[in-house]
Amino acid sequence: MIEFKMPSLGADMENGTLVAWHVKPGDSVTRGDIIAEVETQKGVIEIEVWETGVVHEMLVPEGKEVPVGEVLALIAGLNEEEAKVPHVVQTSAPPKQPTPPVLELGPSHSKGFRASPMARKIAKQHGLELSKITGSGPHGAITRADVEQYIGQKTQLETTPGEGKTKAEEKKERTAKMRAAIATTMSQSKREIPHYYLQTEINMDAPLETLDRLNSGRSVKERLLPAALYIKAVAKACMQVPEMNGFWVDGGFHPSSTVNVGMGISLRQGGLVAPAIHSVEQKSVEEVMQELLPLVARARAGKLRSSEISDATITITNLGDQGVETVFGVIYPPQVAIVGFGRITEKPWAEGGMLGVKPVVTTTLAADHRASDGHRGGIFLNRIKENLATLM
Amino acid sequence: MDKQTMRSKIINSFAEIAPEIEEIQIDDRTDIREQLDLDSVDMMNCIIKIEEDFSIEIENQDYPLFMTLEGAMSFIAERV
Repeated sequence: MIEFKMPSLGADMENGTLVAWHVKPGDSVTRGDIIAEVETQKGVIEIEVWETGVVHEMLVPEGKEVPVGEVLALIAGLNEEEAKVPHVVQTSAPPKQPTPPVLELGPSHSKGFRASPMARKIAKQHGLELSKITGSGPHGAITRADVEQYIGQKTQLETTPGEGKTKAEEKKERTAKMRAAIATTMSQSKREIPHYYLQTEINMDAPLETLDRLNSGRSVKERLLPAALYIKAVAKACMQVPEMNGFWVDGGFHPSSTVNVGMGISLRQGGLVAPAIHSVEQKSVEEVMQELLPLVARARAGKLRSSEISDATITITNLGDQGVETVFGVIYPPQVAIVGFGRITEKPWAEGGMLGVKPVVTTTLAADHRASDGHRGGIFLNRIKENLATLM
Repeated sequence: MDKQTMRSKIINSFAEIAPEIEEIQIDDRTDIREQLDLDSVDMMNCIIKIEEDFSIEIENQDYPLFMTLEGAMSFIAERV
């Protein structure tokens, strides 16, 4: 049986609240399916399953906060599903002899459950499904006391996250939680990571001309933005200077063989998240752009997926749209580098003995001195510069 | 489609990305990116939503028109 656990969605995460299950026992799941939603300090994250099989049992009810690593559900793998759960797949009705139904979350009919008339009445008044209530009466029959106890528990669970609070208060609370998470992570970063900072100016004349040329024949949907170029150029530079791409863990640097680029995205309600685009080294600029659009939209809507939030190997912060010329980032531990792109501005530019006016972007690197030195950092920035000029 | 209906439909398209559009008074002639604090990716997502909601195709050269509600309305009025 496969254990589906509360994932760690970042070094700073200790607990998560299971907000919703998207599956019920008996449902088939395929690797990559979103099967649950978990509320963290980064907002509500959609959790993917990394196995294929059949959901056997839920161990944690909606609304409960549990530590990272706790088993949330059991999933029967492909080989065992036939043996262990032979009948559940084909029926949405409850099994005739229900296994302890406390945590069964799927829609079920109430008819098949033994319950006293009063218990049925109260359950009906509260819109409850009897299948969700554990009976303590003879042969597991549900009594009035069981229903009342269930209502008590349910109210308690619902009250913890937000019952009785206005939307504005909930929003304020979420923002405060996220602020606290950012405070913890960034303090840890500045306390533990010896940052060094480098800066260079990049002439964006040729890259922007290429983008204009490519975009002129396209619809808005296919439009490429400089951000996609930045992401691709940084990923390529990571392959060339691997000391920037990976994690500092247990006193040593662990380079990553793939480049997952985290994008710092500020949220309207306050705070920020840095979801990742995966394996950018294998993707074209167009593919990066097509992933970036929904990623940013999901980040804004608070609908990120667990795989996006947890495994960036390097981060980009791009405050160009806010009009900032230069940004020096704070490294997100356990990563070892963050690349900053400012606003593209027209500047006097001397090249080949000639002075002209060019669109220029200030690019910065904040890197972990434990994992690399300024010399390699300089090479890394220069690679980004070269890559931007030669990508397309 | 009358102007008011079109305006509220465009606002709905923006609301998916920037829900606060429903809480503030939008000036039709001022850059909507500034009013809603939209970055370039947000703006693209909004325009893609408008394409879907109005079943129109917006070419890259028409993109600047959508920086104001007025521009967006005049573009859409010619096509819907």
